[in-house]
Amino acid sequence: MREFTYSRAVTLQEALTRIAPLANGKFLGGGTNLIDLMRENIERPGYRDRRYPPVVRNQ
Amino acid sequence: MKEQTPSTQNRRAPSSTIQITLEINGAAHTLEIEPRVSLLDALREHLHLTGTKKGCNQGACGACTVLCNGDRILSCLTLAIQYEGMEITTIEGLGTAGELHPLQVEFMEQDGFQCGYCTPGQICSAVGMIREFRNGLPSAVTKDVSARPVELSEEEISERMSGNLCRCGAYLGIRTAIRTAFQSEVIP
Repeated sequence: MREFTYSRAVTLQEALTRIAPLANGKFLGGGTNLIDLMRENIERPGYRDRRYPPVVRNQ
Repeated sequence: MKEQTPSTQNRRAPSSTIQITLEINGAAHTLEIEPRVSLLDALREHLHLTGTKKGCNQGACGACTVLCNGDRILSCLTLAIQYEGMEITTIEGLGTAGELHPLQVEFMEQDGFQCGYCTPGQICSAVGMIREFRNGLPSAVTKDVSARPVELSEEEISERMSGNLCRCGAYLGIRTAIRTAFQSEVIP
């Protein structure tokens, strides 16, 4: 599994604030099917694929 | 080994570990791990609690089942870092060699295993399943979901334990062990 950073948010607002500046942030919560997909490199949160330029968000 | 190009090296984020504290079987354990370490690997590789088994590592077999605040979870599909502040119980915390958990006794009495690899997961899952049943949680085979199921039938046990595979096929013994332990009403 590729490396990533992890952050725990307690409120909805906090979650949205934290994920906003990230190019490829993902939510991990109850019922999400993310970690098994990350293990197979299907999902790659926090990883910028060299085929695609990093997403730049307008502030 | 193929030499890495500079651009490949630049793509790698620096390896970063963080310090987390997990409460496992009533004891606090502090460990330095990367966020990508699963709870299963944290238990087995970092804390050497090898009672919890790695089967498929993709959430299909149930061998890695542990209890989190009493609920059964698949430790291979979770990150250890998610479980800070929660109470984790593994097979090592359910019983000791001198004082076995009632389900451990019945698994031995009723031949609830052959090779034994799935057994820690089966037992943790059964503990969680009995708790769910007692709390009135219906299953897919519960006829009337508005009524509390009164009987933990063979069909109910099969359905509720369907997330735990046994490649030896000891299902008859597993079901008998769970039913017997449940009926003896000694399960905490």
